[in-house]
Amino acid sequence: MPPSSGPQARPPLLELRGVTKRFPGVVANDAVDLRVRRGEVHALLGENGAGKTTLVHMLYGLQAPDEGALLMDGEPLALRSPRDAKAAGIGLVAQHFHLARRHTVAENLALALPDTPAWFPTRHLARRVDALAERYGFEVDLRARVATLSPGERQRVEILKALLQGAEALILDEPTSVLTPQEAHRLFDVLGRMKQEGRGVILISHKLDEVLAVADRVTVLRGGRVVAQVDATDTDAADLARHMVGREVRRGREAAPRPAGDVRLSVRDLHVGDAAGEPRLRGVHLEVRAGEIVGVAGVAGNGQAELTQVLTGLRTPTAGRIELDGADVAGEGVRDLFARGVVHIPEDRNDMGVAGGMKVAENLVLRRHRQAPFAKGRMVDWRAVDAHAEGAIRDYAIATPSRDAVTRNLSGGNVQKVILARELGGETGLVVASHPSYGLDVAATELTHDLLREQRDGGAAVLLVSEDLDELLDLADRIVVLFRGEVTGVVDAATATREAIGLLMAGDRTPLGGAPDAPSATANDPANDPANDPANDPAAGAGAE
Amino acid sequence: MNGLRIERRGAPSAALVWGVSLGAVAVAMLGTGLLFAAFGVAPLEAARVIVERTILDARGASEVVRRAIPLMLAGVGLTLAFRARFWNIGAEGQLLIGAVAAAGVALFVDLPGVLTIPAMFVVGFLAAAAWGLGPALLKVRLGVNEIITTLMLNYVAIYLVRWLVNGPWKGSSLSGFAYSDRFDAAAILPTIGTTRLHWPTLVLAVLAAVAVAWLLARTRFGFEVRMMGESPEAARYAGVDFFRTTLILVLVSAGAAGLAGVGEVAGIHHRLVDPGSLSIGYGYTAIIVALLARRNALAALVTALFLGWVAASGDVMQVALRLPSQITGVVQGLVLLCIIAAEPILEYRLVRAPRRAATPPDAAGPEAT
Repeated sequence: MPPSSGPQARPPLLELRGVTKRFPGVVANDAVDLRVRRGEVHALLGENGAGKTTLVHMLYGLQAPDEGALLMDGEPLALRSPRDAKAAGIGLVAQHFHLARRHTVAENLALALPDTPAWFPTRHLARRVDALAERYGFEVDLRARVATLSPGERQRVEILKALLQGAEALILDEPTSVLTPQEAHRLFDVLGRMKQEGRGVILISHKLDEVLAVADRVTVLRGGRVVAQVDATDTDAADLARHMVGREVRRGREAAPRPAGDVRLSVRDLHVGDAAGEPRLRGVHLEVRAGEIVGVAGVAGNGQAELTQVLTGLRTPTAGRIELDGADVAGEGVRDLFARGVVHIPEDRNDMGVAGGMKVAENLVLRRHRQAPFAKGRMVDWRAVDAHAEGAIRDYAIATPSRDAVTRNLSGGNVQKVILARELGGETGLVVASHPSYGLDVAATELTHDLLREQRDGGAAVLLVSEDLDELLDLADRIVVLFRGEVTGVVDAATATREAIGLLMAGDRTPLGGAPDAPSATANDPANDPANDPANDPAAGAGAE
Repeated sequence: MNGLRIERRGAPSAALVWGVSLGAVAVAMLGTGLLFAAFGVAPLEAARVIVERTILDARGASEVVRRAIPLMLAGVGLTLAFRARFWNIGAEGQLLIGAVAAAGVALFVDLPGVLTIPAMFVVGFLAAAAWGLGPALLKVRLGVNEIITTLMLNYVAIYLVRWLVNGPWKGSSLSGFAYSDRFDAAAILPTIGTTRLHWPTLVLAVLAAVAVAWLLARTRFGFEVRMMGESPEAARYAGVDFFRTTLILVLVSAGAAGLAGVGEVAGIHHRLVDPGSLSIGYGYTAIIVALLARRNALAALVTALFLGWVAASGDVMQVALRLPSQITGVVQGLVLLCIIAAEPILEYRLVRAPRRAATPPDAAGPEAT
């Protein structure tokens, strides 16, 4: 590398020097140094509360640092608002997209551009977008309404928006959380092209494997400080996890100590419709044995929510059989199923898993208040409730000011601990866990996984619904893949590849030899959904990219 | 630019709740003072007259309490319904139906004397509860908005009473007046001395408040009611039987308003009278009672006394200060307005914004944990 013109000699694209940001009672960022070079994907890793979001806010002009300096291409930068950031060439693709859903892609892009004419705002857009789209291998339908786009497509619109605004440095906040593995690959290709053009990318993620695959440099934040700054080639997942958490973290598969037992849950030809009568599950077959974790994979909205609702009694199936230890329980309500040992870690932990305005102690018995010792006839024995709360807060290390604190004020991880303590603390037969680690930090995720393994080892049947393939591959024995309300395949988690599962998630059964999965092939298969969208998309995506 | 930012706060402390409530009432009183001034009445002088004739005078004080009795019963019932977020606006109609049923017993049912009053309360409770059943069923079965159904049924009740006192139940001895016949002595509640304070109803109101408070705090039913109110999704997940729970709580809520109606006919009027005289909007004022009490049944006893005082003061304003009768309604409206306007103070707080930051609300604050 020529010494004079090498990357070391040029000032970095974006630089933070000793940036400190304090909030009342907490130092969110403590003397943070960060250098993002041109042509580099720089990953920012850290637990919840490590200071990533504050850092991003400062880079995007949402907050001003208390101390330290921001430099771009060696020039000091004073950002007073996102407008300044955009003008300076900093773009942000937030985790929750900032798009007007009812408007078209073109209108959304026009809205983001400063030089949009007042009349016919979208007229001059097509040429510019086409050029960009071609350069980055995007396919974007400018006339499509945002509401009709998949999460992956919306993300591409956000990236386009940033590029149109002239972003030299692009910040991506948890970009793959809503994507299939194939879509994630396409995103990484785009990032690759941005690198080639000399732009810089800041990738915020907690998926270690992904960071290692895409990033050139990795900065790990913990408690607001930079605890590690390494080249991606010089580190590994265990190393990064240790930096993030500050201690050794176990990763990877841990097999059950003994083989699975009898069939606990048997689902046969299950059909479920939504409120409008549209089919959401179409002839699903499923088995979970005692002492086994069965994963359910799929892109959001392919029937996972309906499956967990039916199994836990929140929804009534339109047809089919659900057997629990041989007894037909289809159509039974939440209360009966809970009494049979069906516990549920719901997807929506803040609205469904707990009543946010109630006390921690009350939420710890939310579903168990009809059982001894909490019920005394028609009364609630609050002394037993309080005693139980003290125990659960201690055993699960729930961080709460007291058992009487309002549950809404706890952090996400601690709300989940309340739910786990309640659901897994009693007799369990079938555990239905829906996205149990979504949004949790490494330590809380680890605890959640340990508890699910503990359930498995204790002889419970566990059904784990997740969009995180790593989670499924680590925990599950078998993985059932749902696509449009049907099971497109069942794979052995020990041998399955992410790619194979990704194809099944997109409705492509080629990983199983092209033959339709015998029991899940139903008569109404071809009748539904004429090829109007993603059905044929994934095959093309997988072939081309 | 330095500025202030609005931030969500955690659970407000009891002191803050009391302070804000009292502050809201104080602002409403201040508004009332301005209103007096606009009518050419010196506010402080008006206040002196009102206090003298309502609180410092024994008879005046008894009027405050007797106005508070129906507010207590209806208000306590509403705290229960409002806890589950069943917005019962129909206490007025339920009160009237309770009065009708009690009058029916008093006028047409031959009972041994000692049983008459208890029978009137029981039948009044049941009739009002049945009146609330319709909206409850429509809500849980068909998702019909209870605010509309309960409100509309008020008018049905008002016209039912008007029809009764002008038609079939019109008194034989009182040609020309829209009254029923006077009740027998056995159907008339005792009062304290020469006041109109029908104390058995007051006792009932206190018992009702204690019972509702106990139900909410101690029983599984109450726990489930609170769950429904705090988070319907969590209640569904916890297996709460919405049908049964809603039915029971509406029956109790409407029945309590019915008891208030029984007290008015058996304790004050001694006959079924025109709905406008029977209830001076007690059922609506009870909504303010319940909300000002922050849906706490025991606190509703206190807030009912306060609004009873407002109603009794209205009488004084009319008689002694020559103000129009509608002034009571205006004062009540002011109180309600101030309470609702003060609500955000309990939920949010102002903090100093970070320096030079243009913060959209979703991006504000330190990292979410």
